Amino acid sequence: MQQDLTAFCPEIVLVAGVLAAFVADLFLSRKPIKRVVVAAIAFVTVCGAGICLFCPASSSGLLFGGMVHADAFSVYFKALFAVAVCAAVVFSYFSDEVERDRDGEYYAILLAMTLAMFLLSSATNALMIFLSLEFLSVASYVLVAFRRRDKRSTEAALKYVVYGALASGLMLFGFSYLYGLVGSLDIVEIGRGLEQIFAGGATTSAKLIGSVSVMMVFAGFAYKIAAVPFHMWCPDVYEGAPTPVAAILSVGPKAAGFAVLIRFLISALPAGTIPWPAIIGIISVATMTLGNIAAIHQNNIKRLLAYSSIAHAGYMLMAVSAGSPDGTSAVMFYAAVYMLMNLGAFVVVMSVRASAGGSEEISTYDGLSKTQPLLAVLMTIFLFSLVGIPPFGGFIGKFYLFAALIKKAGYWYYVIALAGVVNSAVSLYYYARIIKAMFLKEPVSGNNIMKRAPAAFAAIAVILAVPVLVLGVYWSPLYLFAERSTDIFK
Amino acid sequence: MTMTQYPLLALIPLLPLLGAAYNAFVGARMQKRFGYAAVHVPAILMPGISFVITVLAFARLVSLPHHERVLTITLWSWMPVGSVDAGVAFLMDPLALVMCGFITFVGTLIHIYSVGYMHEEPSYWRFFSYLNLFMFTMLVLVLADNFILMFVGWEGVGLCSYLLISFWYKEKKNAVAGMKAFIVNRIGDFGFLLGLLLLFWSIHGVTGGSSVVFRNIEEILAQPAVREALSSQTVLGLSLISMIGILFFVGAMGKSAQIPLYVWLPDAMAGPTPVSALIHAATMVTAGVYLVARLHFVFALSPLVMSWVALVGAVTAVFAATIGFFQHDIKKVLAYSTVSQLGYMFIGVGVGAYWVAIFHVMTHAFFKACLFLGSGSVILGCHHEQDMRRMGGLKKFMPVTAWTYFIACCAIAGFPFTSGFFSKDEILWKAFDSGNLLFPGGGLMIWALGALGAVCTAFYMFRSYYMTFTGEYRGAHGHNGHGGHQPHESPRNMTHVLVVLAAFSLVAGFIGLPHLWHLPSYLHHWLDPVFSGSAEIIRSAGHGSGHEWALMIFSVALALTGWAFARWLYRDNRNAAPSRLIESKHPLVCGIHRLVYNKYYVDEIYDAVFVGFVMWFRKICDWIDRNIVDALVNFAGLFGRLVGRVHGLTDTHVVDGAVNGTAWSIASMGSALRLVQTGNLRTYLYIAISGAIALVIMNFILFG
Amino acid sequence: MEYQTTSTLLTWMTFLPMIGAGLIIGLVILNYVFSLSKAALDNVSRAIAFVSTLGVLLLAVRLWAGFDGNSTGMQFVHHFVWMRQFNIEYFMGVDGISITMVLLTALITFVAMIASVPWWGKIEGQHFTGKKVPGYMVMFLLLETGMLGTFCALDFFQFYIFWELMLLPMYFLIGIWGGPRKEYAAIKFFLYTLAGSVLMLLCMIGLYYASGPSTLVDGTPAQHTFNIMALSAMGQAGFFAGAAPVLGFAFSKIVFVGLFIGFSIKVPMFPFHTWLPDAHVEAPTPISVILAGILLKMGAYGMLRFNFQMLPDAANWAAHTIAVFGMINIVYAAFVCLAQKDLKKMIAYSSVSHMGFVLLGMAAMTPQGITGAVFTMVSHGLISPMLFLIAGVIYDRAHTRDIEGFGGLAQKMPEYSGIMGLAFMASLGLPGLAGFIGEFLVFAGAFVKFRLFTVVSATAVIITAAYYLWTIQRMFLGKLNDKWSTLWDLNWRERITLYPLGVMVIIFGFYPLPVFDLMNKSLHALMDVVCSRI
Repeated sequence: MQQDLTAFCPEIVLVAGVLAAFVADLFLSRKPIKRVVVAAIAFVTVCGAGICLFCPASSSGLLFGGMVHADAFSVYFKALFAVAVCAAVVFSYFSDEVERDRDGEYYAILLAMTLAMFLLSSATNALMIFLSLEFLSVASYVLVAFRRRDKRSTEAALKYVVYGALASGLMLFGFSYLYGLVGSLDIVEIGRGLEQIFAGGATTSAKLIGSVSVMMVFAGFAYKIAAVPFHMWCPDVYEGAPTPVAAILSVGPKAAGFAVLIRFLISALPAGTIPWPAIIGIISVATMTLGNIAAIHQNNIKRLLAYSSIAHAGYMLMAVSAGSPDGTSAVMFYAAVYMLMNLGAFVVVMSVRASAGGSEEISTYDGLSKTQPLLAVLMTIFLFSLVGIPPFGGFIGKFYLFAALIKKAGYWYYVIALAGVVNSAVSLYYYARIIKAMFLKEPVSGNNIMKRAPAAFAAIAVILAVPVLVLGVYWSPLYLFAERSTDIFK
Repeated sequence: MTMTQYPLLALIPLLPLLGAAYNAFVGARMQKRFGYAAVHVPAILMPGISFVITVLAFARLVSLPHHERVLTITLWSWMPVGSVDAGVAFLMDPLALVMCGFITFVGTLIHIYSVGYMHEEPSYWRFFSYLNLFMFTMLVLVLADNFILMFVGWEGVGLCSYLLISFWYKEKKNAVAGMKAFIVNRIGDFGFLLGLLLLFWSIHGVTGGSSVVFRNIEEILAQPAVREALSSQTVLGLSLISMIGILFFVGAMGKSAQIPLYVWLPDAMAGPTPVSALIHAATMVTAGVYLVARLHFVFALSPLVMSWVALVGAVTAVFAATIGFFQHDIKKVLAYSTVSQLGYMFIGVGVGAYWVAIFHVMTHAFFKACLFLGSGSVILGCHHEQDMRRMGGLKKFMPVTAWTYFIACCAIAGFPFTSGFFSKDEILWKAFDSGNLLFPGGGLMIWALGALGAVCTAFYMFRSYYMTFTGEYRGAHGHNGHGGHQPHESPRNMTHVLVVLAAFSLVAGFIGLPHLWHLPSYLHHWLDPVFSGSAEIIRSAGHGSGHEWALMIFSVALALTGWAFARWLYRDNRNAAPSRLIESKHPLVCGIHRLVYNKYYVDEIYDAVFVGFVMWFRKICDWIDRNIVDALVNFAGLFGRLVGRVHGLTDTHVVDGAVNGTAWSIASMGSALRLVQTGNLRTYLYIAISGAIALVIMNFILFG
Repeated sequence: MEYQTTSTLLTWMTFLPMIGAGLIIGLVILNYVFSLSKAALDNVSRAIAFVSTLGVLLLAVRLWAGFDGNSTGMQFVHHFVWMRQFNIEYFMGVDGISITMVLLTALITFVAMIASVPWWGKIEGQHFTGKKVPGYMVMFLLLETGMLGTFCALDFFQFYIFWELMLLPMYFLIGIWGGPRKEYAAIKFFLYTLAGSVLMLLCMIGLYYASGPSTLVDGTPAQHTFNIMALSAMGQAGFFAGAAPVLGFAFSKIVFVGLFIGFSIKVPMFPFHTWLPDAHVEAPTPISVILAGILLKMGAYGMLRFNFQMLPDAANWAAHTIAVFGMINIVYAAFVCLAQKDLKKMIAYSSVSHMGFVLLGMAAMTPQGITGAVFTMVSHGLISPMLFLIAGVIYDRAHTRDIEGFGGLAQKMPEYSGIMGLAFMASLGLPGLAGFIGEFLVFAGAFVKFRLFTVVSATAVIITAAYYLWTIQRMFLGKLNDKWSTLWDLNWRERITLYPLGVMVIIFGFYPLPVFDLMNKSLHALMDVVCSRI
């Protein structure tokens, strides 16, 4: 076990960035300059971290006594976070929802959150998992509550905190049991231990405790990825949080949650222990169904996107339940596509929100194709991609998810796949509601544009739309990247 | 069997098609620019040339040895799929030649006549275009060398009759009559189609190969093995061959207005009179007879079907004749007489006397065309008056018309040595003499019905003659003094046509003299090769010449009786008997009168039963489609709505079985969920905890 | 057999419209920079769309000229590896079955394009041809790309992409440029079709994983394949019949059912047909033309290409059911037609009825049946566009389609009445017109297999005649309703859309050999798979 910090350089860069941001925040007094500088620091830092990812060392193995494992798998997700946060930094900078006087901490916390996600995606030790999960949560709480004067924001934060506390409590509980059972916190060790237990050595009660504790641990992950029944916080938080924050929450932590979930499942629960594929499958069906059905009735676009993000968590879980390398790479591929299209959708929401004076009702989008055709077209692209219709990236992602399931060719998997396609057909209905509003409805005189939204939003949306389109017809590089990153599990 | 290629054959149908196209596309403009002549000259020329070509073909045929008299031309292969070997190919054998001959001849004459009759019609061009189109389809029907091409003509004539019946479409009743004609014909076509399919596949089932070409089928059916198989295999309890025959006969019924499908023909009189003469008397309506004659090799194999054909024919002959008694519309009288004459033709084919039937088809074409055109000239003379009660005494106004009409009446009544006499007597004799009718009494019964029909025919035809041409003129000017409405003789081109036709109705019979007189029967000899195939199957009862003499005299007597009776009742309508009959209060008398006068209420019954059913059924289907299928498909929607109802949150105003029923219903579930999603933190936590516990329990139950 | 690239013609054909769409988009962007006048923008985009559809038509003629009717195989193949993962290939090619559809598509789309420009004839009042023109043209062109691609694609994945590619433009074309209830109709169409195609997606993946090893076009071995030719070869070798069962059903059967439902929604087959009347009624005329002329055929084409060619055993197993549904389509829809008051709705249901013939003929699996089915696809593809154009003509003038409301129009619009008569007669299968040949062959082919079903279906010839003639009588004959005394007859735009179709309908009625020559060989190849030769 080597102790070479070069493998840790991305995280180190981030830490440096966080500090730099705080320092700049302290020492710079003039607001405008400060904003620019801090945002610039954040941007540069994330980009730097991203670049560091691609030096071979950063995927070179275990660190800190097996606390974190810097490997290709984590690198993939880290790269994903880096991209997401880059975008986040930019649109946060242009968004008026981030209180201007406290930029410094905002970006610093954003960076901290990134660091947490980095750690979480590469954590290989129960303790490390718990810590980074908490770290991530705390960062998120602060960001959600960032608009102190906004009641909705603070209330959402509170819910988030309490709920998170509960979930992580359960998780910790589960970990402690596991430790009691197998006497180790390293997830690989836990895996071996459980194998022995379930191999028949131990008593039924031991097995029961084992499975109970694993369920508890699941609670933590399910909370992070907003899977049923731990999804409740999601709509309220997205609605209350500043839109940029909601955007980053809807992709970053979720992806991180998937990263650690997959790692945990594969390392800590080898075949013959807990039959987790079935459990995950049930959770996934419940999650996507509930997400889609609940989304139909939403009139607040952010709530709607929240539920859609729940549904998409369900889709991804579907492939997780396949428990195969294909499944894993499918999830990773989908995570990337999902990040692009969901961020895109949120960016459009920000822009419309900005131009429509803070309204988040779907009725705001009536006749958008007339008032802001570009935005309307971009939104259409993102939404149809979310539905999963060719020729958009979303379809390829879904295709891989289903393919992974059907390849398993088992009763369970066919049923889940069927549920999946039915759900994606249903999902069309609420996405199409927005499209209908934008294209088929006439603009209502009430919500004519109050002020022009910063063009940057449109620019970001375009930048995000390009890959969504390209991935619809040429996706092999990304897929190869995802596939190679799963080698460690083979 | 050697067949002679004869390219000119194709021109016979194609020329009228050209004429039709010409008038359809440029007719209107020509009419404006150069007047009516520009329209009717080509329209008359085309069928005229067809007639000339027919004559040439006749010469060619005569030059061939007796049993090789077949001309063909194959233009191109049409649908070469599997053993469906249909081509666009024409064939002229003696039978086709006879049909072709009088169709082109009478057709041309009627074209000429129409010039006078339609002279004030604004859409003159349209009329002639339709007329030519009809000639085309009719000739295709006659000359087709396979079923499918024949079907083209078969439905084509239906189309043309539809177009021409509703030619004056501004009158709703004309439009409806046309529609009725087409749809009833389609019922017949339905039979034709199924018969064809059944024949095709039955042969296929036996021989492994099949064909839709008449000659091939005839050859195949000539093999005893095939005949055996077709008559032994059964479908729905009938032998295949009988089923095929019946289906084809249904087609024939539709086209030739036999019971029960005759109802369209009387209504068809809504069309212009030349149309009635050409289509609904001379040519199209005889297509059914032609079909049976053409398929003699099928029908002859099934005595059952033959008997039915004869019986239906006989019954129709009498039935229609009786309706003729009390009609006042001169064209209606002729219409029913046509139906009844067609009945005779079916008796002919039914008893296997195919050549005689064709003989009658031809003579009937002459005298019935003459009658119709006569009535047309009357109608024109009386300023579009069709009710015989407002005519009378027209003889002095329009002598030519009167004379020709009288001659034609004699012919149809079967006065000695007129054409009708020869053909009808031959039919009755053959019926009497027929040996292969399956029902008791056989030929005798058919003959009796035929004879009864004959006397009726003589009666109502002369009734129409006397009501129209003799006595006082009871028309319009009788009431308002000024003589503007004086009836007048028709223009020369019309009268000339009448004369020619009258002449033919007199003499045409001589080509088919009865064997009895030991004079040559040219027509019989001419058609012999066509029907030789089935000749040996048709058995005769073997009555002697004595019978034949007796029958001949008897039927002449009948004709004379009918004539005398009509003369007594209706000549210069002094006789009060008819009016007394109509006024009579005696329940039986007036009951019968009303029954017959209202054509036995057949139309009403059909409307009530069939039309009624369809109109009801379409409503049912439509309702089902809107209220059940549309909802069933979205059973998910229904299910979801149920769930919604469980939550007591149904969106009542969206409960309509539309596809967004799915979404809406799920939506109502969604709003149920929204209730759960209260934003109340405590509930969240409870749910989270219980969720975790649920997970544990589930896991334990499932896999613990 | 291995197909190497022989020509890129099909690719050009397919993507030419997309290029046109790109140009129009570029134009719109330009418009942002230096704002052109609306009229200019509209007309230029119309011109671009017009030229590209025309170009496609010319390429199609070129294709026809170059097509060798005597080979059973694929021609004009364009074939290369697209995505090495999942062995997805780009594989375009046409055989006798698809080329008829491709030619039809090119023709009908061009006709529809003429019908969607306001040139060569006056248009009064608010009309869709004046609304958001660039958007319309872009969507229209994308739609054409989707359709052509669907017919040419020989790789299942690629096929699916094109298949779905048609959804979006169609949704917008109905939803934005449609009639009063356009939103409802559009989403209904979208949901139905999507529901069908996601099923198809599962079946596609299932087939992929069930398929055996093959080699990609560049020779690299592949464990599974999406290549339709390879899949068909495997299917005909009984590969899928033997595959592991799914959810307890035989693999080939459940896949057959899945695919069949997917396609039968497009056909549309009872009871999945209810999207069609709404979509047709609400869609603007050219879009109805394309819907009826081409989109419906895709379902039938898919059935032939996939259900019959890949899963012959399951096809034989399902034949009776398909025949029953075909019969229901024919008769039931005919009766529903009889009850319609809206001209366009009646025509829509008549399409349902006529597609029933296609189902019946395919189910029969006799040469006559299948040939008849494909020929019906062609003839209906010529006739139903005529019908919808005709409905559009009267709607543009009278702004209503209520059959009862008209009467005596023949006096005001003789030419129009003539054309309508021709179209109706062709549609009710009058011998001598194109409709008859397909209809007759279908009956002939089905009769030997399903006697009862055929007889019942054949009653439709009467009902069909009834509803068409009744419509003619109510609309054109009788007294002229004074309300319509101001109507005017066909203008040139309508003439150039209607007459070519009319002429073809007549020609193919008497001389269908060109069509037969195109498709016979390929159909025979298909029949060798499914038919008992008769």
